[in-house]
Amino acid sequence: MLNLLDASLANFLTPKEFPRTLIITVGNFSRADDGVGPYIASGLRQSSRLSVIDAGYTPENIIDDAVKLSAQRIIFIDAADFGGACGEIRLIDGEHIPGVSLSTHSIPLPVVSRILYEDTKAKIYFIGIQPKSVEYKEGLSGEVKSAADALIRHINEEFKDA
Amino acid sequence: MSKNIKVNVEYLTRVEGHGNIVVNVKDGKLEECRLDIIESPRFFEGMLRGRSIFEAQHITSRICGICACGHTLASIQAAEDALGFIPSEQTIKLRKLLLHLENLDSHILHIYLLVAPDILGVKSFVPLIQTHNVVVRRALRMKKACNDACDILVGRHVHPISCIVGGFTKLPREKELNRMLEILNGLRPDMEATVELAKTFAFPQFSRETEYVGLVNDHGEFPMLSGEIGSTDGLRLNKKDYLKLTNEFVVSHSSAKFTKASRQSYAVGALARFNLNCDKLHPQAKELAKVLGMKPIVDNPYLNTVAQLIECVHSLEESIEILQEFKTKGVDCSQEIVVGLNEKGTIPVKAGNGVGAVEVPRGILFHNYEIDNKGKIVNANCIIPTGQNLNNIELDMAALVPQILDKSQEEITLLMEMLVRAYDPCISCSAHFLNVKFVGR
Repeated sequence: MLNLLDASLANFLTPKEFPRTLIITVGNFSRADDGVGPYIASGLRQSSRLSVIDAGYTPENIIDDAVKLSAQRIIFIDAADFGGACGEIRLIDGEHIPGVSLSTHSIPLPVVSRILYEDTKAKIYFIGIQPKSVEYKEGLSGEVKSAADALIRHINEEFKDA
Repeated sequence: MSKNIKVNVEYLTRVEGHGNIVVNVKDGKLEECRLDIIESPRFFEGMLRGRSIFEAQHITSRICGICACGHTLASIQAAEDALGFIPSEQTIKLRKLLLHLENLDSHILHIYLLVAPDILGVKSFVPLIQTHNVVVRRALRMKKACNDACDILVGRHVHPISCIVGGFTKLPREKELNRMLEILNGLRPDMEATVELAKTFAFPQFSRETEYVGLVNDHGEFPMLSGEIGSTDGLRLNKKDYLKLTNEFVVSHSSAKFTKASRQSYAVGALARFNLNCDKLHPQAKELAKVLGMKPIVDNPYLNTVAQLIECVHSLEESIEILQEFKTKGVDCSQEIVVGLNEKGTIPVKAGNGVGAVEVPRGILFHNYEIDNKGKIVNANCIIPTGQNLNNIELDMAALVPQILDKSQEEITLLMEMLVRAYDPCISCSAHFLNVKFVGR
């Protein structure tokens, strides 16, 4: 059984050290597991310590909104093929955000994260979830959905208002 | 210069999709020059069969995430042609606005994301954030502006939802007109800066006499949404006769069909439109063409990017004028039509055959539907601009290679890549792209 949320990731996904965290989810629900980002956004509850923006497949269009939230930490969540097991969750620091996008006409995520860093000085992170499929179809695979649900449960619990 | 060299570039970046360029030069002689298109067909025409003509635009919009509005409009035009429905003047004007917004968005992305890195000497758009931060931020602002305006007009910035057969399910109110005007007026300083940047671009020198094809008309409007098919070789056809233009044929190295008209091949797109209709551009775009030294007939394919820039100015200024006109005269919101598949029978249904011919960012796009007396699609055919350009790109490559054999392998590869990129090919519509393989030189 895959350990969906290991201790270090669970510890990272708490409000300590950062008064305000912004989660930006990225992905296209029409492409199977690439929809994991929007799925997670729909399950997260905003609080005084957590803001959530679902950027869909145009993260570059939410830069202004994201900057206005003045978060100290920004976490992108997206499907990412890092050669792991389906549903594996991996934390990547801002310097190593993957630059490959499904369409050549899409703005690469490192460009967006760099601008966000310049404008907010927030710490930037990326949480990648290994997809099983990014074919043109709706719905997540069981493995990816389980991983997403584990993330949603943990984040909602940790960031809820007292 | 060595006479036999092997080069294998795994993927040409900054084109949409995958494929191969194969070049074989032996003892300084070009033996083979091919554009292999290796993408599987996507069978959109098959998907349309048996579906209602009133949902075709939502299906075909998914052919492309970049020119989704163009596919929507070509689909709607074909459907209305088949049904014998004539849209209102207001509807046509709003559709033109939609086409302009997409043209602007697509061209800006091509100029900044796909072409600028070559000109500015970096490998991709990503390093530009370090070296040309202001340029990157401008590109993002401009893209967002186009997306936001499109969102307001048709409910989504990609895959429009409110633009359907018969008209619009939601029409812009004064507040929305004002917002779109504010966005587009705000775009002007960035457009001026883009023009200034582009003036510094140096494109490769190369030309090949080419037949350029696009929509033409006998009046003063720059034809994008309607007109006849015309070419710089004097071809003139009703859009219903589009098959006499495309003459599609199969080649063994491509899963996309090639086309030809009066010559071995023809080209479509911004450069074709410029060559055919530059006298009908908005005065500001015409002025820019003059400043940039563009005068028809321009047959250097690398300058398609310059033609796109000129069109950007045209589309921006025309969009603002359309919106200003609506602001003055008002929008007749009683023309809003009910969401659905014509369940109330507002549009009479009959058997027919219709063609849509629309100038989308990469060139003239054809949709053709045959429907039965219940409005069910019996047959469909979609001919995409990139598909029409493939044969021409291949012939350009064959003409270019012998002219640049004195250059280094790296330089040759870059020039070949830039040539293909200049056409802004959307291979995911017609097929996919691109390795460069030099078998020997």
